[in-house]
Amino acid sequence: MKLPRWIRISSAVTHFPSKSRSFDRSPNKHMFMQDVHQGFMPYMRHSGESATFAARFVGPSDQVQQAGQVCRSIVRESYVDNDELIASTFREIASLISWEGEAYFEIITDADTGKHSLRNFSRRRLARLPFLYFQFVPSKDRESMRAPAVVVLPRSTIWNIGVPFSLGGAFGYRRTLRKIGRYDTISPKFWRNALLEGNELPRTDVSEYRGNAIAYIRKITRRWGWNMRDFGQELSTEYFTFYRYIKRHRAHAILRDHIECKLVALFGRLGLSVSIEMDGLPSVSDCDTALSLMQSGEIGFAEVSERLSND
Amino acid sequence: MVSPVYMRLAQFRRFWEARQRLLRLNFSFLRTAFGLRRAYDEELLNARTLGSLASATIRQVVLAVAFAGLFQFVDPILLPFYKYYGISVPDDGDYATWLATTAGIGGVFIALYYASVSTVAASMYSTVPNNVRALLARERVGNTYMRFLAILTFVCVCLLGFRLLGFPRVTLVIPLVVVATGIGIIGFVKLGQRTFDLFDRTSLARTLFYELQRIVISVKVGGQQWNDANFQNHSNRLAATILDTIEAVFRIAGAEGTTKNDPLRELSSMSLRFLGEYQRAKALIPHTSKWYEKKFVHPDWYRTSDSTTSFAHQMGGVLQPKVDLNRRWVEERLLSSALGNIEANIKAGRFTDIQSLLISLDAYVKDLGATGDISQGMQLVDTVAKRIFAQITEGEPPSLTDENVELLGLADSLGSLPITLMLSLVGALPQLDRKDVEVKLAQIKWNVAGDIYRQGFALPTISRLEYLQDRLRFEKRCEGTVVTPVWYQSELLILALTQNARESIVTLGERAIQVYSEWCETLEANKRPWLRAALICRKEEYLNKLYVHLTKFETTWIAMEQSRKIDGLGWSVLDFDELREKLDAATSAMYSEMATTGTILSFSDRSDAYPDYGGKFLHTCGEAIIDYACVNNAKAVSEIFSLYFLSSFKMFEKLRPTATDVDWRAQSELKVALAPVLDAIEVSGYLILLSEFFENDELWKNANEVWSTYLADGNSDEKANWLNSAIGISGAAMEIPHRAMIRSGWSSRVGSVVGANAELDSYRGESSEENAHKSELVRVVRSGRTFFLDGTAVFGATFLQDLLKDGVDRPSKVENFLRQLNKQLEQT
Repeated sequence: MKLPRWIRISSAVTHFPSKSRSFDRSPNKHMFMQDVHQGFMPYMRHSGESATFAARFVGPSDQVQQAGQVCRSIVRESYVDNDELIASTFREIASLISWEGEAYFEIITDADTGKHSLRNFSRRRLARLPFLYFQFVPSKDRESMRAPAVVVLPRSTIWNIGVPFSLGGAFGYRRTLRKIGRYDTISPKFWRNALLEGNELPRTDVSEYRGNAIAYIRKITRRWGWNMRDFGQELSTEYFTFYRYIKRHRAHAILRDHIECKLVALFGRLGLSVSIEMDGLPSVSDCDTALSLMQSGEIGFAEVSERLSND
Repeated sequence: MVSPVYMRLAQFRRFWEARQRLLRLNFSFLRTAFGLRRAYDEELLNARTLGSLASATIRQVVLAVAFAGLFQFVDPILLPFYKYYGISVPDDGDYATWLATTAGIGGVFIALYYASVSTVAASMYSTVPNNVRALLARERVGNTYMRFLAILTFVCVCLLGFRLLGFPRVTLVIPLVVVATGIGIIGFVKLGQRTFDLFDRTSLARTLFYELQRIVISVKVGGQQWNDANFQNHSNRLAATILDTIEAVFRIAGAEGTTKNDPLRELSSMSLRFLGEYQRAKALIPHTSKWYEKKFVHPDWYRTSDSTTSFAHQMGGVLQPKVDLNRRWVEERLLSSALGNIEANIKAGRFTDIQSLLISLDAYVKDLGATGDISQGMQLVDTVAKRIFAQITEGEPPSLTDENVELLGLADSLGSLPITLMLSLVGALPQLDRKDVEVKLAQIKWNVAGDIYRQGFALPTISRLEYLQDRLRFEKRCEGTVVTPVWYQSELLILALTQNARESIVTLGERAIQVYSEWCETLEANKRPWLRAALICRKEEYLNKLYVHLTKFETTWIAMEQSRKIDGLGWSVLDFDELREKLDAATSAMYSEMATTGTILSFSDRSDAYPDYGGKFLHTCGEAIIDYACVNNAKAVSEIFSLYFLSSFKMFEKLRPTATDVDWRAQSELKVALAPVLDAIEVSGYLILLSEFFENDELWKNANEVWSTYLADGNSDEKANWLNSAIGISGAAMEIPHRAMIRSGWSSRVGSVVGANAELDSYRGESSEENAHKSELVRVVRSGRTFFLDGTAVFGATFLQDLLKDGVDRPSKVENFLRQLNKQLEQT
């Protein structure tokens, strides 16, 4: 059966240039998205070998090779070292998740070799049905992306991963992002504009506003333990800073576990009996232990920092 | 918790405008409530004043009523008598007359009172500043009385008016008006007497301090609107005006050139009393309260954040000054007034006033110490003392016998102030207990305004508590609960407490001693040995007490150190061993000062009006020489001994009986007089023994030179014989010599060092290794054959032995010691 020209099956459109967002002016939102994946996995190529980190695929060697290939297709680089490959894969997935709270990949299987690779595509303009996904391509992008109006994607060819539920899920994450970007933490916008234009200002307690705005952002990001990159003691005690520091590491550990779990499940879907093992990174229980010991005063801040260090 | 609604609304200009209007409305409401409350308090006070006026006049009123009752009783009996003599009984019309008379009396009194006050104002207050004159208008008792009288007069006028309008007579008012008129008339007499007090232009200052106290209560936690910056500002302005008036009153009082300035003394005393109460109240006033005087501090350009400097650069201006708070503004102003007349008082010879000031200062210093402000206390004490000493030492010094006894009292009082400071810190030590801090912290409700001040924390922790409160509230807004545990909170408070404790202990261990030395040097340079002696006595007391309490400070400090949980908090370090070394050096220097001053004083005849500092110093130096010799400190011994020797012989000359009789009384007096010389001989004997024991010739070298110089001057044989006789007198049979108890104490201390009577105690042989010592002298002492270690015997058998000619009888104890020594030499 020949399909009409405006529809095509498989081969998802990666992105829609006409719908690309302009530069997001909210520095807090930008920082938060960066911090979801930064410091999440150790960098090995640029900052030298990590003293403790080690990662490997476990399984039959041919299947391990295939799993490596799948990961290389995600990071779009040809790493040889498994430590670096796994770290980069995790980082890349986390980075993609940080934009929209979830990431979609199309599984592409080479007809000749039977090898699999993944290709990331935008979750925008995607309708999800039980067995099929529909991607609606804007008219402006059809020519440039060489795509018809609708791309039908069988669910079996799609792999998606989102923020784990314990961190609010994909929907919760997007809501958090919206809230972070909604307000300026320095002053209300009208106040800044009025100041620039030299207009008369009502008595505005900017320091109170600032304190409330920061507390608001920290409240909505408390699951992530985000400190807004502030390690000073202007607003909080050193203890509270370290409390959030542990919470941040805990959130990273949850996200790592989630990605690992989802990747292993993907390998299973692809017929690969491969698992991933990682050493030298703090686990959720490590974070909980550190928090409990810090709360009882048995360990100091230096030791907390040492215990949760990724390097 | 942070409300999303707040965040949403805060983006709109209308929200801030509405909020500003609401704040204004709220402020107007609070201002009205504040005014009403003030008015209520004022009326309550007036009512109390009226009550006290009524109670002061009640006896007279009762007497008057009793007389009236008697007349009422007697009046019907006298009716036939009136009729007989034709005296008419008053009719209803008299009622009106009587009321009119009462009203007239009221009017006259009002006029008279203001006439008298105007006279006072014209004669005494015409030349004073307006704010002082305003005090007269605010005089509470007179004003209350006038209001009462005015109401009474007007009530009578009203009753008359009603009667004229045809209303019936009100029988009830008759007794009431009678009583009220009684209070009015008799109260006027009392008030008339009080008017004379108004001639003292400082008599109204008490009202000012009362006002100041009320303001402090209002800015303390729990005061009306204590947490509102507008009200804090208002209180600051009110207090500043009152302080201006107090300063003016001080200036007026200071200008009075009388020999005894009671008003000034009373004012100074009130100021310091108020400051003591204020110091305690400060722990209940927020550190950031606008009650404290604002001062502007201009920041460094290169220490300011980039955004601020960039903004200032773009705008083309300088950096905006930061507002800092002067938390000692009340103290600075009041102290400058209270202490402003020290020089004038000393110049005018008003030493009693200064003494009274020092008593008040002592109480204030105690409050400063108890609230942890030791360094401020020490600075205040030093400033006052230096001003007093500078004034005292102006001009020619008096002769040794002409020193003013009152000045001695002043020096003594000044010397006691650092002791008060130290003892107040000892009293405040329980505040440094971690458990206590944790219990209090656990009770704080961080979201309740003012709860941090109500737990009784020490003043140095208040700013840290406020710091914690801001941050814990922030935590609660972020996490919904306070995350920082109590142990960490207590860690921060203990940090503040230890920093303050360190500063306090260092002030007491270093600064206070330096201050004493500086005072002594000033007095020495100005040739005032009596005053210096008084200070040295206090210094000795201070050092002794500090030695004792340093152990307590150390115990508390170690307990705090051991309970720390975080190492990297910038904990204060305090080396108690180093502090003790400094105290030892200060003590040694003090003994030298004692020896010098004691020697100077020994050259004059002491009147009974002066304490015997010379005698005390001589005794203390003897004890010090023994102490230093027992630890082989030859340098310290040599610094004191020569002066000690000189003072001992001077003391003998002073005590020597003048009578030429040789009866038992004269002999007894002579034995007492010889005591200082015998002390010097005993001390020297121990120096000889200990120098051999420690094999340190330096220990005896200086003393040997002093004795040799003494004997070489004049007839040495005669002097040696005299010393021999003196030793003999001290050892007469069946007699306990004068100061024997003290010397036996020395014997015991030296004996325990050299191991005297070791053989006797343990029945060991003479050749025992433990007893073996190079020195025969030490071996004799250890052998126990001399029974009691006696320094005079050692001196007689060694140093004096070579100077006495053969055939001279030696005292039995010397003979005995010599025999044992020779025996030991033969054995060697």
